[in-house]
Amino acid sequence: MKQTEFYSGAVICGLALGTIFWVIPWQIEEVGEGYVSPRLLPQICMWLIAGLCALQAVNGLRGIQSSGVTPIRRAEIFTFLKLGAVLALSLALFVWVAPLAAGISLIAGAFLVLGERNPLVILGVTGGLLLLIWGVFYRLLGTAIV
Amino acid sequence: MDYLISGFGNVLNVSTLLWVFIGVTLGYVLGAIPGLGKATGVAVSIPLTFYLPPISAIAMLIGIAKGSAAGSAVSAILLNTPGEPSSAPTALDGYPLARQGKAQKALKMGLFASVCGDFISTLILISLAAPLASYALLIGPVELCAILLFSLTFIGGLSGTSLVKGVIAGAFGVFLATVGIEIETFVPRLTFGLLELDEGISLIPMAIGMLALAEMIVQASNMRALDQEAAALRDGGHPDDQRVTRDEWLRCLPVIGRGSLIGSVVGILPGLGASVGSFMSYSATVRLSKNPGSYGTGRIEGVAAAESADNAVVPASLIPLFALGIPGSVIAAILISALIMHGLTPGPLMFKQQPQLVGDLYASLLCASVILLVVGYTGQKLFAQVVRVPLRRVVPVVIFLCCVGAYMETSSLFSIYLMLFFTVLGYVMRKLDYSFITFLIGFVIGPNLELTFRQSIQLLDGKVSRLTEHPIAVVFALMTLATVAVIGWAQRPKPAAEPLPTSR
Amino acid sequence: MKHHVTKTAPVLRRAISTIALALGLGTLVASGAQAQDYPSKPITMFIGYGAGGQTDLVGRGVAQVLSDQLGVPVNVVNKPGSGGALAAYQLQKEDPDGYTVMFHTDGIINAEPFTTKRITFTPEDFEYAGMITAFQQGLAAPKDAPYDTVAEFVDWAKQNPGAVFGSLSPMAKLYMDEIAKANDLDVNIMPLKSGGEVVNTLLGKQVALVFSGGIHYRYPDETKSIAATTTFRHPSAPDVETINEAGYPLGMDARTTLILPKGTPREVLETLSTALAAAATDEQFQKVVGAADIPIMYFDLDAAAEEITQSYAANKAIIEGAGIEPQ
Repeated sequence: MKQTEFYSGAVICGLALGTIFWVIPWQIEEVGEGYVSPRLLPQICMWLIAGLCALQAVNGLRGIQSSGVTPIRRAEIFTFLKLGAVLALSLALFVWVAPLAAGISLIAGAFLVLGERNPLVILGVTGGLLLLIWGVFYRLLGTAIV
Repeated sequence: MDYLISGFGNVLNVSTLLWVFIGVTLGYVLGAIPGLGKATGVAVSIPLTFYLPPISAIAMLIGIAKGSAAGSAVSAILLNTPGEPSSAPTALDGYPLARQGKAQKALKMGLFASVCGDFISTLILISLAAPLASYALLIGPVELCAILLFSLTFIGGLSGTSLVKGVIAGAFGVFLATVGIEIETFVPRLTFGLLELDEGISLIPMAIGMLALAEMIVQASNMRALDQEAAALRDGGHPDDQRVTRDEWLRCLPVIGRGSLIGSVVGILPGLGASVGSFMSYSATVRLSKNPGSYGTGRIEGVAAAESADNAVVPASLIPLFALGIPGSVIAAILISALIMHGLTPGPLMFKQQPQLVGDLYASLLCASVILLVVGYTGQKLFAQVVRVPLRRVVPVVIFLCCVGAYMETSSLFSIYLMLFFTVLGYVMRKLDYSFITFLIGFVIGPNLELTFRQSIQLLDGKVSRLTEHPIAVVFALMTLATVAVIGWAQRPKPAAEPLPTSR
Repeated sequence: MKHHVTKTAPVLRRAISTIALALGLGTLVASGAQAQDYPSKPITMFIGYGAGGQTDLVGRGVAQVLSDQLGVPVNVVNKPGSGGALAAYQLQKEDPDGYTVMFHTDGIINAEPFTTKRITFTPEDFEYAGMITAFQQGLAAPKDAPYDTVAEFVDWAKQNPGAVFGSLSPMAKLYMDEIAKANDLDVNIMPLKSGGEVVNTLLGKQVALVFSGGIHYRYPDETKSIAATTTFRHPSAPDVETINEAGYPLGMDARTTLILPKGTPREVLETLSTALAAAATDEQFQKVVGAADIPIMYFDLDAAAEEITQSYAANKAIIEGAGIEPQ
């Protein structure tokens, strides 16, 4: 048995069935006659996914690997957490302080968590990028983005 | 023809060429910034052209469009972050090439393919605008529906190593494209009460998240190895890695020719857009290749296919505009205002009333192609230095550009959240080997297919028999069936060999 | 979208201004600006559609004029989404100091709330500094169609059941639904996605009649107007009757309006209204909107407020009368 194939197939199949019987009726209203139902296309897609994922799961059970699966590496989880923290901080700064602060924390923060220690690079790139964006939008194009 | 020659006389002066040059350069830079597409670039630049003479103004705007279509390949190849969605297929093979130390090669091919596609398409525009445009009008929703069905079927077989997983991903793409207000009944679908989703999920944050950010996470976790790899390749690199060899030229020429034609046809047809063109050209190349599995690992033909079609769409979409006054793309629609403002009313009368102005315009279009080659060639040498920088210094810049790109279309944080959602999804899909190419193709073509299908039902009054009034549609419907039969036969051993669109 | 609800927006803007000053980025910044010395810093203008559309075109033209008149930059920020509702909700959360304005069609206040459940604006939710243009919305047909008025179309459609009407929005559909209902017509309503599609279907003769936002006036040789669905006759086709004159009291307008948050001081509104008036006579602006067949119909702040209150009631009656349920 190919475990990843089986479990990913089974889980997605379950999600697709949940979407068909629960999310679609809840989130898409039915309309009167004379129209193609707005539910039709989403339902077709989901039935297709459910069916094929079931097939994938069955194949997994029988030991057939339909295609390559790469394992999730611990380093990747760490990167997710590190960069996620930087993004969360920047979003908080964007909402509560100022977009500029968010920009600074995003670039400089990412540098720091990825191991860049050269202050010249950190300061230079952070300042240069923000100035570039400001120059392109506010000066050159005369439009604002925040 | 005489007007074209005298047009060159009028255009080949320092001031006009300077404006074309500025337009192309501006477009090239804008195109390289993720999320800032041709349409935005042209729209916000229209006021800049108020003070210019008509030809300079329009040539500059078209220069921006052409430049940004080519520039978007730069970030796609170097950073795996398509400058605009239509360059997403460029990244699929361009980025692996850059990681293998062949960035210059990929960039050069991208540029040449762009310029070729652009040039061929411009020639088609000049020679065939009037006769072709009347045929474009024969393509109504019924015909378009059949054409889309055919192309989706064609693309459906593309899905890499596993057809099952490819179709799952494609179906999910179509599914996510249904989010938003349904256009016929105005029922909101799957919006969970969020007004932000009324107009659907935007392609830009989705593509940026799935392609660029997800890739950055994977790379940042593996920085040291990748940097060593890149350094090793760089040092031991063969000079051929930095240029396009004659052999590669020969292999790519038919690909570029086909890409230019596909892009031109897509550009002439209303409402399809550059993304459809580049994806179709890419998948056609993969399908016709003897070794489809090798695509996505750094095949130079992949870059050539995507970029030639991407750039061919821009001039071709001016064909219905010039000949009939119909905008074939967003760019063309924006250009209408600019053209009228500068005293040129697009449409058949334009050729009769102001032939000289049209000649000038054509001449400046061709000049823009040449200038694009110069600007791009200079620019890419500078840009290519990016691969020499260690990843820990590249990743923060890319992440920032991704955020700006996702944010700027709507000026709202919602796009950032969308981008992050698709980053995670893209990561999971990478790990489980669900093709995000078929996912994106489903997302791009799905809504057009549904819309034209709904339109067709109204046009045909619900009667299949009335299809006989639409012979072009019948031809494409038959071609679809033939394709399904061929693919189904070829994939016999696999039980679920039916490609996605046959479910309709 | 909780972050939009925070009361920190002023802090944020002030912080930007301060930092901009600290970085020497050019613009004059006066913190705690009073209504008397308005405007003393850049103004942000929301447009609730993406860059490149008709409203964006007019809006950027207006921003240029306002900037010239007021002597401060007017920065356009496109905030597309839900026909402008997102931008309007955002506007409500901004300080009512005149430094954040929105340029949009009045439909977001006087029509959208009746067709969309989640949009609940009333005229009292905002202040208005004036209106500048009106779109020439109407019913259009291919030039060679054998009818020139609504009455003639009705006669023709009775002979030709299954005729196709192209519709962009619930409002567009309303016109055909009402005409079909009154005359017991069999009409197929085909959904369209954009103004470009309106033109394509007209020129390709795929529709018998289509609701157009005015874009068809650029094609006088291939298209014609059957009726204006506005309350006024179109300047581009003064001989074509309005829908009200044709016997269907359904006339509704779409006027581009300068909208401000509730509670903006009257002096600020007056300053903006006066500056907006200059657009009506500005040569460059006339050229921009003239090229797009969008007539200038300037209303000052009082006329605008009057217009929006009155049209809110009128549109409500029309839309609810047609039996349209908000979705």
